[in-house]
Amino acid sequence: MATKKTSATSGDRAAKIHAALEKAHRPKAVRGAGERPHISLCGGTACDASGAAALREALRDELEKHGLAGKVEIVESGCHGFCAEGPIMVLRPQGIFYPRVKPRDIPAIVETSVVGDGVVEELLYRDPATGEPVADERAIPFYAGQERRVLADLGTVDPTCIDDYLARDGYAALATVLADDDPEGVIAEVEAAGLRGRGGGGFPTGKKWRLCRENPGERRYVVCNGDEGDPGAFLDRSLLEGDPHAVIEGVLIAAFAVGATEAYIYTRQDYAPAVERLKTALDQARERRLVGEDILGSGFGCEVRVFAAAGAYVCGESTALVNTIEGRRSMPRGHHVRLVEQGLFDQPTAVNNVETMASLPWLIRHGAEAFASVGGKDAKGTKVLSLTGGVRNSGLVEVPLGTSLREIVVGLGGGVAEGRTLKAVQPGGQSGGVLPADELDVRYDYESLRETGARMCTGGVVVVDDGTCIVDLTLFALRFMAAESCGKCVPCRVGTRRMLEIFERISTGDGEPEDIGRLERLCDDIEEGALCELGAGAVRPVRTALRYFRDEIDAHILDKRCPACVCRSLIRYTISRHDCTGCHACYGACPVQAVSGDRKQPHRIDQRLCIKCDTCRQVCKFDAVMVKSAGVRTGGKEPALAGRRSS
Amino acid sequence: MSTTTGTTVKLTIDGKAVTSRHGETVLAAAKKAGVEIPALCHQEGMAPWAACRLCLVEIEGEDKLQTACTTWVEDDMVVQTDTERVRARRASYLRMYLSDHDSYCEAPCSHACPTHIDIPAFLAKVEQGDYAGAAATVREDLPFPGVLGRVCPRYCEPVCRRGEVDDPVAICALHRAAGDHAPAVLTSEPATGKRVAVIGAGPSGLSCAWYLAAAGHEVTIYDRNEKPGGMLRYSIPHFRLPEEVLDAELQPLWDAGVRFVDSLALGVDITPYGLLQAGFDAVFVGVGAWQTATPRIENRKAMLDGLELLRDVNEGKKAAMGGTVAVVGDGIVALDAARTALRLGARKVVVIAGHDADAVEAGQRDLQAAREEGIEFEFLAEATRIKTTKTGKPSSVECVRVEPGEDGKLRKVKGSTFSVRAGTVVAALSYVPDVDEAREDITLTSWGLIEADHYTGQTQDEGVFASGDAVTGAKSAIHAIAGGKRAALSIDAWLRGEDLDKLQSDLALFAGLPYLEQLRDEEKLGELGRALAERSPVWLKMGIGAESADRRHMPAVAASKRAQDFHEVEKGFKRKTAQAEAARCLQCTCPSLGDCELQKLGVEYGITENELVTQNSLVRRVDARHEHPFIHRDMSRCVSCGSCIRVCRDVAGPACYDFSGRGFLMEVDTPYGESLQLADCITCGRCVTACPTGALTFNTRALQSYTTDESRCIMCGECVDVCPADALAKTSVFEEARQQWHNLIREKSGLAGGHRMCAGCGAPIVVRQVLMGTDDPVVVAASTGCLEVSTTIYPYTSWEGGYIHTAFENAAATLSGVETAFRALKKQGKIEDNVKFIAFGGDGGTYDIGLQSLSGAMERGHDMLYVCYDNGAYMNTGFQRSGATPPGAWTTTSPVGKAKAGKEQSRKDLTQIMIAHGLRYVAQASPHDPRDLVRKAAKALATEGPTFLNILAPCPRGWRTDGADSISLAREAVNTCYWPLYEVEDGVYRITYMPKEKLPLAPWLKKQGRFRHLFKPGNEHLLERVQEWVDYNWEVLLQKSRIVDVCELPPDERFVP
Repeated sequence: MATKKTSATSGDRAAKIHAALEKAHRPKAVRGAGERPHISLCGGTACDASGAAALREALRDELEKHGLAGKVEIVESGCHGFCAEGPIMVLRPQGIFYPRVKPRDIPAIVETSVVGDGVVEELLYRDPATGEPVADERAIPFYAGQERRVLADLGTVDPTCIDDYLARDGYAALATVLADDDPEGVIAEVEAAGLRGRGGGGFPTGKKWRLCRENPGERRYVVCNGDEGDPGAFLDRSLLEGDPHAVIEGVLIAAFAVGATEAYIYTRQDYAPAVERLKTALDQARERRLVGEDILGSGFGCEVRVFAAAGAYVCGESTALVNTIEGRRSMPRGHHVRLVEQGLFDQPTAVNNVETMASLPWLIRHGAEAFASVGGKDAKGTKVLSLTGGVRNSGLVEVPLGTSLREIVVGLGGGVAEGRTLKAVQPGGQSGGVLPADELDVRYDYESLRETGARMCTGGVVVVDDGTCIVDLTLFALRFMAAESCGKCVPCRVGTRRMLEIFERISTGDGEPEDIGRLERLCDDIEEGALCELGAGAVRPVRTALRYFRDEIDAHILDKRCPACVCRSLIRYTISRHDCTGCHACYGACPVQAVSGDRKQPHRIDQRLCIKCDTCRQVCKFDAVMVKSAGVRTGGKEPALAGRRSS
Repeated sequence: MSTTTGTTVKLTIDGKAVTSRHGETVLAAAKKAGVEIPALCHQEGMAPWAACRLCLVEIEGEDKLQTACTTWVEDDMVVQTDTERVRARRASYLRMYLSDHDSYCEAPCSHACPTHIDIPAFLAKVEQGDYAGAAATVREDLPFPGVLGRVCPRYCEPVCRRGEVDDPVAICALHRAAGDHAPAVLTSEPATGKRVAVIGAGPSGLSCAWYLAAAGHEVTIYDRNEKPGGMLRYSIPHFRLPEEVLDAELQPLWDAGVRFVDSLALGVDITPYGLLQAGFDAVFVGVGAWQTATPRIENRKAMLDGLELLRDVNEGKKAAMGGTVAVVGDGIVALDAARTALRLGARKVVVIAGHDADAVEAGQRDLQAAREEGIEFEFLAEATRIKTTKTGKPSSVECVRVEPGEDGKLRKVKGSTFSVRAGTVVAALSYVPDVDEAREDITLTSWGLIEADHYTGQTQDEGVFASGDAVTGAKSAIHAIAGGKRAALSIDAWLRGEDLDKLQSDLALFAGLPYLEQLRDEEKLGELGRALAERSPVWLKMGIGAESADRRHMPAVAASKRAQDFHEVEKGFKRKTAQAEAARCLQCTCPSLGDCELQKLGVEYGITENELVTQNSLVRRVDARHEHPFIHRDMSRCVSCGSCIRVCRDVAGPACYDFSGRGFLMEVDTPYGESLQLADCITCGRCVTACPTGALTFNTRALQSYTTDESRCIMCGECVDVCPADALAKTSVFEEARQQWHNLIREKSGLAGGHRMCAGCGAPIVVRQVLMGTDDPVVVAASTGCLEVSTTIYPYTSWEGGYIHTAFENAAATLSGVETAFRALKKQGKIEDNVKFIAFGGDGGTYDIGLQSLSGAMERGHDMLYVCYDNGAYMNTGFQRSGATPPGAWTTTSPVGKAKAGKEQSRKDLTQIMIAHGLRYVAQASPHDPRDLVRKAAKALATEGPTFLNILAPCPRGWRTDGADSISLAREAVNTCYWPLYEVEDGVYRITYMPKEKLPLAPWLKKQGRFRHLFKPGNEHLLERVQEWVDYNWEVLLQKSRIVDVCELPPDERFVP
């Protein structure tokens, strides 16, 4: 432990460190974060997939045409968060926001907003509530409703440019911490802020560090857990891709606090841009003496390495993750192993999630009090969520912990698509369980969610509308969990497989009433005995489905009916004689020639041949193809028609 | 924890005060205190692994159950290891384990069989086509497989585990096949000089006689009938059991010296006491149950006796029948009588059965056969009165319906009387022993049965034993045979002076033990005790990974034709069908029976039902690996506890195993799935010891000794280096031979690299290896072909020595000219060197157009070696068929299409043609085995006069294979016996490589594109034909090399090309 220095020397030291940080910054090299006019083009994966690359080319050509090449920078930023509206382009410093930009829109935008100073009104984002165009990105309700702390730099800085980060007070928190030279103080600050692990476990970060610091060892390690394996979660990836220096700074703060001299940022090889940008960022930081020996002349040194693993869901489990770094198979070690005692290479180790790390610079810069100014009853600060599924405004949002799920899904997310009703929400990805629409007033924090039977887990919020069958949804979750089981303990290896088999039976109409009891017993068995949280996570979708959607499951088992018209074995495709115009579209599209009928005559589907691929319904221009639940009618109304979501 | 390690801790485990030390786990503390906590993955002295989840215990103050292996003792801890909650959870996990355990501890069929035949073992032999071995295995417990295979009620089949997948294995029909396809043999121990009399030549007496004779005793069988066989001969109709079959199966008895004395009845002509007086050392009584029990039917005298009817018919006294015949009873005699009546001319036969269709006493097999033949049934009916005409002939049978009451017993239904019109009524209700006349000579029970011990057959009278129907009441033949066998074993032991009384009480005690204790105590019973003991196994419900495969149907005479005569109805399985059916056996036996932790826990926690085992539940199935000579791996039995992995890595060192895969299908495997030897295994056996189940087991053959095939040894010395027991040593001979071998392979070859042969071509490898066979200068002639065009591209040549190129068909002729010139020059003294002459030709130039020049050269006796590199077609001109092209192969001139499927003709056996030339040395070789090839080339070149080598040369282009696979394809060709390695030296055949296991041909063919079409549906017969052709040639070769006796091949299975 560092001995307390006299105030005079510590003052000198602090000045030296701050000066070193000042020196490390080259303001002229700033690209995205400064006041120079530049165009910020979202480089997040979603925007990339919706055509950002073509846009970049078109933009470059257009700027050149106007002789603006070199004068107006094109900055490829990290994810702007509003993925549903991608590709996103923001003109700064004005902050003019253009959503869903296509290469053919570029000339108009450059002409009006870059050369001139107007806005192309028809290309602007329109507030869905008022229908009015909104030019300023800050005024867009999706952004305005958020509390962006961790995401503050995302979409602003160029992730490949350290000076952008430095221009936004980057590494200032580290400098402060080093200048104060009081690791215990840092821990106390984090404890005071009430920061809990954002990876899902929710363990108090300060406590973890304290334990790690106090345990005896030859050396200590800090590991940043960036193995994000949950389908539907992309917040760690977005942070690593879009703001790698924030993560690195967080890692260094953690390392300083626990007294670690080596740190790993663990992510998966398939997050290729993240790995690449992290490595670039580390090189830059090392070059500026922000990483490595004697950081900013403080005497504290920490080597930070990127560990890109093959990527498996179980690697997110901290003991399995540590095994992987050691070169062993990614299998959890068990609850009895405490990494803060015997972690990486048997030394005390603090493993923290990417988001936890990324929230540290803000916490240190603004102090514990500011950090704790927002939050839920048991945890303070904000939480980044990836909002996906049937929600309108899918993307990355950051809200104070304790915000109600409805506010997140309906307020920020804009609810489900036109003509659909919100059915359920998976608040924490595949292993977080599923909550029905009438449970959405639950506050999004650790304990409130726990009371409903669901969990926050990774923060992947998946919104489900009425076109989704709960049995099908659970089946998906179970398939994933069963396939990702590491196989070490029998409850998880065999138990999840058997649950999956039961759900498969239910989905094909072969379920028995006794299956509910079997599932409940399996849930109990797996939950109590599974070696790690993955087993318990596999139980949650089943438990919550049984708790909140029992009627729908019973319909599959007792009536052999899928109310949402999704489970293939239980539905039937027919063509309405009334609506069919005999256009032959489905006739040609059917891959198994199950559709028959002459042109201009109503068509029929041969049920013996139909493989229920949904193609006919998708190609029909007259909504003549109907999907019916084919099970036993129990009286009452006809089940919903055409429930399947079009792709 | 670490600071206080070693200090004393006091805690409570299951109410016991326990003293432990800091740093010790609850599991260890409990063990020391004598409390056993189940654990599959725990390894003493190693860090906790915490995977099996079975060591869960309740700890006061903890909500969840905790694993004892990862919970360290603390002061005042209160631990409960065996509460209901804990047990329920463990049982759940055991159900999970067993639902994914594609194995079975014991075969239920063997237990269900009254005589406990080792069914999985004999089925394995049938599958391999080893009928003699299969019959021998059956005969260890059942002397007459052919007979019982026809008449047994098949207690084994309903319990067959295959039935959980589809249908039970046709076990009964298969032991009939074992009897049908192998001669009946009885091997006897040396004569003991003891004499035993057997009274009764029925199934129990014959079986007793058989095993007594096998033990070396002198046996005389007495029977009151003229011929031996008892019920088998006199009550079972010939359409079920032809007399010839019975006679053939009994023949070994007479061959072994057993005497048969006819027409002497127990109590009338002979008595046990009398026989003992007459000098017999022991007497066995097995006189059966021949007397009809008095039925409670009014006017019963109007009925015929079923057994008498059957006997008359079998003895040839065929009474014609007409009109309607009613048979009262539903036992086997009743159904036999009904079917016989039909054959005697009855228009209609009605069986009045006391049970429902699914419960008839005769069993489903015979019920089904009877129904097929048109016999009608009145189920759940009881005959009460026979109405007669004035002449006393029956006119109808008055019956009443019965139905099962609440206690399961059948009761008459009031007012349900009905009658069945019938001109003839046969009674076949039940039979009892006919021992009244022997009442004076032998102790009877109050039921009129002979009193004898269940296990040993010992009666009250010293030296007299009894079993069969006379002791048990009427039962099936297989029960009688089981009793006879037990009595024989007991008599043998008694004659040797063993204490049978003690054994009897031991066995009775043993039968009362729980199953696991039976397994443990079985060893203590001794050999005889084990043979006589009756275990009561617990059948754990396990998952089965087998894929569905249809049961083979027994061919039978059409039902419409059966009534015409008394010919046998069922035809028996042909060999191929039997083998395919036997392959359906799941081999439900485990080498770790009784030692398996999972079995132990499964029994203890009573997992006889398992809700997790359903039709759609997936079960991991991994092929067993037996490459390692000492350690067998059958990972379908693996519970993934990881013990082997950790023990091998952390204790032994080599780290042979690790988990592979993820999720449910994860398995324990070696790196890259290679065989264990290649994974640095040091054969320490720790993994086997650590394995809690039967996944890793020791090879019991490990104690056998091994011999080296010196012709195949390449003197690498590896066996000497790796032998863990230093059982192998180098000798000076070895060192010398090794030196020679190493010199050879280091030597420069006569064919330089850099030729233009295709990658993966077998020909240049063949040439290089052949040229290694001599140190003398060589003159090579090569006919036009791949080898020629690719090695002599002008102005370059790959040939180091003399080389002459000649036309396609002329290699042999040209070289014979060169050789003659050489001889002339040598004679003139112009050349002093020894020169060897070698002609190389492809199969086109050798088998076809060059055959005449080759034949001529050979016949003229030139001192030369002709080497044919056989790639199976004219490859360099575009894959045209040659005489060497195997049948079924695609070539451009034997195309594949709708009309034809590759080469239709057979392959010419050139090696045999060359042998027929009377050459002094002819051999077949393959480039995958250089040691063998070089040796053969050296031998051929050293032999004076013409010699011939036929060498397989894989052609990646023409075979449509990957060049990298050529050598392994050549190896496989040899192992399938498509290309056997053999040599003929001065007319003597010698197989130079005997495959350990003759591989099936199909996988080898499948790897080659030229045979792709054979695997299309509809071409199965072609595939079979090619396999038959290979099998036949191999069999012939075995005969020629005197490996098997000539003429063992059954003539009907000969392949006629």
